[in-house]
Amino acid sequence: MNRLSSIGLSILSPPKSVADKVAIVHGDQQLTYAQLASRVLDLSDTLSKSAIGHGQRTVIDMPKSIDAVVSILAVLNSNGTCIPLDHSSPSIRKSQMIRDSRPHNIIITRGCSILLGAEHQNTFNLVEHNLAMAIDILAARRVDVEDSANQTSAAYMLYTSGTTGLPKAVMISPVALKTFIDWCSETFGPQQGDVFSSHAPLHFDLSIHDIFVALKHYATVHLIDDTTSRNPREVAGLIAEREVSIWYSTPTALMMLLKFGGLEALDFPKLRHVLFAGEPFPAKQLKLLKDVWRQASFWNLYGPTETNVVSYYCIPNEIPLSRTEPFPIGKACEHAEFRIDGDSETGGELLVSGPSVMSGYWHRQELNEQVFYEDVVGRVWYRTGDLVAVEGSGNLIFKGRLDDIVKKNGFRIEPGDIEAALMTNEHVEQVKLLTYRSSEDVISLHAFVVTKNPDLKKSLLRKTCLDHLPSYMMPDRFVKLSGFPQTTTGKIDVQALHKMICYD
Amino acid sequence: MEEKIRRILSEHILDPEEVDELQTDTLLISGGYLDSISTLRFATFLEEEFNIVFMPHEVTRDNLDSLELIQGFLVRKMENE
Repeated sequence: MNRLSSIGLSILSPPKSVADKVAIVHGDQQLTYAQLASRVLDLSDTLSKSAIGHGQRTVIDMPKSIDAVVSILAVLNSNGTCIPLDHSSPSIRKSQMIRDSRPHNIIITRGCSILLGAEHQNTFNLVEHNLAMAIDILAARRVDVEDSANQTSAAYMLYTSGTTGLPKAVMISPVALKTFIDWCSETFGPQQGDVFSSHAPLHFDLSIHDIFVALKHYATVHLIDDTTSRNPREVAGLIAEREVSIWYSTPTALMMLLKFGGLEALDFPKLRHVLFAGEPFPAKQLKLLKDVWRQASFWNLYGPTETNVVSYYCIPNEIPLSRTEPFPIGKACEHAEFRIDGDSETGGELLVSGPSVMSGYWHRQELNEQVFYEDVVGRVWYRTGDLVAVEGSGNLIFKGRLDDIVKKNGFRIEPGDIEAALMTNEHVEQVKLLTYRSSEDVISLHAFVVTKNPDLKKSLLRKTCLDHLPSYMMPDRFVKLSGFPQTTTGKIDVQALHKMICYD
Repeated sequence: MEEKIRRILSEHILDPEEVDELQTDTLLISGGYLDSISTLRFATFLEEEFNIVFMPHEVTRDNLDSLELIQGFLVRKMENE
């Protein structure tokens, strides 16, 4: 059994009844289930000719498109490990991820190898064009293949922000994928008639729901690409016109729809499930959205990329106007076991165990030893770093982070990642990144930069970040200082810096 | 017109010091000054200030990525209305 069928997808031999049904749509392009099967088989053949096989790691560096989804499915069908990159990331960052993952192969949009940078052009050779699709397949030269001959059992490797400025890859096994897909099937009861949106980019775990759950049930999935997702009125129009019935995104995306989407002028008769995850949804906005989409059920899903969804909470139908605190993250999913390290009433660290938990970070032995904990009976627990408390009803409440990881617009950001990028600027001597939460729950990133050059332009600092970081990590404000304020013990006086934000 | 646009940016969206540094061809969206949310907020302020209405497909890089592109877009828009 290959990795595609082991996660419960039988799209390569769809039943006759769905062969002509539309599987996947992007803009004015679409594939039926029969066409999807033939595309995936065709690409799998091409991949096996270029020797992508069991345990081979394949980077997919393409804009969100039908071709990108077919590539992911074909890699899994060839028993490979797919590593979807953030295509819009600067090339320095993509280079870091390519070096770190040491892929056997790279799939790119045809003719785009120049975007990989000179370093990789020398290491990867074009081995195949795929005629049915506008893609090139590059394979590592022999010396690198030997160097990285070790196979990986993961279905997916997803990169996430790292403390030292180097992104780290979360390894997701086929079992972990299947666990999540099956849980979605049982909880939301998707049908052939459902229409899924795919709002999250393909390098985010949220996309796993949209693509795999939709295709497992022979439903239809609509890809919303990066450009469209920036335009709430177009997205709202798509949900209404295409009669989307199952939506999954961050609360930020939903709040953008609420504020800028013009929802009140449209009808959404088919929308039945609205799932959100990644950050707390402010109760006031959630109430407003529920008032517009009255017939849909709203679900708060919780779980970092490392565990995927492990708890859930169905938002009650009526939300009192007076409610200000966000809703609970709920109770553990059937596949997850929880343990709270610390006081469960005031807040302790959440530990998670179960089949949806990652196999570990790729090639980060030390970090893996820190985040995994084996108990006396040999059960392995993942330390989430999230602080949670238990309500009287047994629901968990998210209380914050143990470390300084930030969630901005649903994106996870390690401040150290931004600090490391700014330190590459020769005029920068020290950096401290702080976040500020406004009274309206808007998070902003403030980079305090120590420089000896008082004429250093902020536009240069912005350029440094632009060259090294994905756009969602861009600081909102830069503050130049000749030195950091210090506490009596000689540490950076973070309180004093925070005051500069408030009075900025 | 450029002054009005700069004023919106420095009063509501960006660090005034960075707005002063902007050239008319500095890329605002591609250059990391405006993210998708601040672009939409910016568009709302432009609608109010210049008494125009953006169509859904008009809130794009093609129209908003620099001070000169914005001016060009606003001029075309106001001529047509």
